Amino acid sequence: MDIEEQYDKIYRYCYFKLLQQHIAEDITQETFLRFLESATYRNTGQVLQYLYTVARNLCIDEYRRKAYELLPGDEEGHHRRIHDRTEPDMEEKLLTSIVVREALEDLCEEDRELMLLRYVNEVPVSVISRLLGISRFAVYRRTQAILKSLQDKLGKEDFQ
Amino acid sequence: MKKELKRALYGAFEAPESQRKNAFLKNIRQPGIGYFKFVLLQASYIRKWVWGLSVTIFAAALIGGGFMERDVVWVLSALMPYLAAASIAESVRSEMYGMAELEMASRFPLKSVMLARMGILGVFHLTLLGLLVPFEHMYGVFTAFQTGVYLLVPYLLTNAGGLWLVRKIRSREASYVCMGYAIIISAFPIVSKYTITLLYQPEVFGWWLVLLAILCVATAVEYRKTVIRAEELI
Repeated sequence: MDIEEQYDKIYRYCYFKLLQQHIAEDITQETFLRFLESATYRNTGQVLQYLYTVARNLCIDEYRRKAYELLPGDEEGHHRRIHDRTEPDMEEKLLTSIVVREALEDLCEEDRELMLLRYVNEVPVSVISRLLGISRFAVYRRTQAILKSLQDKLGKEDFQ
Repeated sequence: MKKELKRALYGAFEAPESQRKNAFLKNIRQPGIGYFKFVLLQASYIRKWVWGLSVTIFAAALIGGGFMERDVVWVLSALMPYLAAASIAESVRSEMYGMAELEMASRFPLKSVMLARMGILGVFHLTLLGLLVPFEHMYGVFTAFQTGVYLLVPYLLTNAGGLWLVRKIRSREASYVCMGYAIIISAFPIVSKYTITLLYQPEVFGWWLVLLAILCVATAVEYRKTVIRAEELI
């Protein structure tokens, strides 16, 4: 396993969950420290499963501890989360993908997580299904449905 | 997925650059053992009779070819399938004995163990063959290249067919079927020596080369499928 590559992906995932850079980094490092201390999952072909499960659980713990005002299903919160990502150095890049971002805003939290895991972090379907507690078929069906809706929206905006 | 959409998704989910990544990665100790140590560890688990059989065949060639000064290519060709069958039995031992599940829960994944054992035995057998070929050539009637081809063909034929059989018969019986298959293959050089003498004539050597090329591809495909199946088990 390339730890450096996985570090970036886990960090991206933690940042997506918490939207706080320093906490996301703390949790990423905590995830890897736990992974390195554990001999159970190391070299057993279940490394990704272990990393994402630990990161997800740590994010949930942090989320509960800080009592974030943003709750899953909070539409206003979803909009804010996407817009909070707009930082000066990313502005130009994000302008070009504004349609995608708007389309993502319409998705629920879990669907966005699915898109991040499957298409940005390129996590295998089997790992996602165990992480989210849904079947492989459900993962496939949902990702296809989300992709189709995204592509429909992008098509309308002539963004191909 | 369209590249544009994928790029846009990356952009939408991009996180600010990590500040402490390099310092963290520099300070952590990477887990596990080195590749060479892992291979050595796996070599120690290969059963003694597998090493013994390989060395016995090598010794037979030395005695036959060197001291008795006789052409023993056909004898070696007949012994090659047993070498291949032993290699297969060792590589897929976990699965044959129903221990694959246990092995997957252990420190190293089954795929790595299989690859290491296949690699160790493959390299060891090829080294022995490499040593045998010029030695056999000194006293035999064939060129070094021909000797190599005559030894490799039965070896690869057993490997490709044996791996296919092991994939199809997922139990301990696979080892017996594989050994039966090796016996059939080993009979060919002996039969050819006394009956179908045409097989070892220079005019049909081109066909041996074609067969060797096909068997190289078939063996590579079978190894790949076997490894992929080990991945799927995880």
